[in-house]
Amino acid sequence: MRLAPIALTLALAACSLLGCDQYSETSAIDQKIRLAQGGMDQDKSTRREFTHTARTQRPYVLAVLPTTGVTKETITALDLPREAKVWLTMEVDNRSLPGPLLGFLEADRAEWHPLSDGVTADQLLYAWKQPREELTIEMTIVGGRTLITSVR
Amino acid sequence: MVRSASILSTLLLQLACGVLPGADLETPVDDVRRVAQDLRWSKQHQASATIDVTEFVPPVAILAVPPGMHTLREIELLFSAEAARECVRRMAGGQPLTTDTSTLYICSARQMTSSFFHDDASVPKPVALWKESTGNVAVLLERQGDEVQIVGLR
Repeated sequence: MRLAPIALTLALAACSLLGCDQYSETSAIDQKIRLAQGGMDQDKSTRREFTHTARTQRPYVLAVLPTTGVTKETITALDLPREAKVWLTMEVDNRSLPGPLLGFLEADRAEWHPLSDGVTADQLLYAWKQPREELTIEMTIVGGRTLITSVR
Repeated sequence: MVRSASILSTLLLQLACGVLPGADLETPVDDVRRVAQDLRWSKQHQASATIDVTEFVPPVAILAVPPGMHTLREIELLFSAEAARECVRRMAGGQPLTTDTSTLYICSARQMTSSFFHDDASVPKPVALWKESTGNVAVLLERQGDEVQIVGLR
């Protein structure tokens, strides 16, 4: 049992020495959002969805946080583990980045990433997923804006 | 590069000395906390965690109680063995057990420890176990919405 922290520590030290990049789930999803956005531009379609399977071995919540309009009360009412609500509340109370954000929330860590230029959401969207469970993100062009309309 | 080398040498020194950050901070109920969190996130209904009682010389009394005052009479009724009752009487100093939060007590002839549960788990009603053999204790957990309850000891 005590070998796990040793292995993790050595891996981190080796990574630090060799300068390897850390994989980011939100960057990977944002990249797929950009591709989908480009695809819609190219074929003049107004709706597209894509799937993503997170690499994590733990349950997680993917959230799309719009720039405004989300209150603590909204978050409190969500059917989510309390840590996920804490991460969301902290971000709403004290924004680490401007604009709409993509959040990847786990029990003990939260990762936030700005959505690609021109992509936004009108409301807080989220999906609570188990490891290896597929995530589906739907995007729609409404009035010239690319909206994330569903996360499931 | 210098900083990285420094980090690595510190870690290697810690490994050589058998010391890792946080290695000595484990408490008997850490696994209960971890499993309770996993249970809330996994949407499962039940799970089992382990309490490490290997540092205690058996027999050992394990008692989990909800917040409030618990009379000795009430606690003694949870144990059939007189030795177990004597163990918890000694642990409580002959007084009722009073706690502000769900608490797990472990006592043996020479040792006693108490662990508090705050948001991580709760105890809806007292549960107890008198363990005369060596080995760990299984804690049965049930999820109720975003809360996890300790419902049994085995």
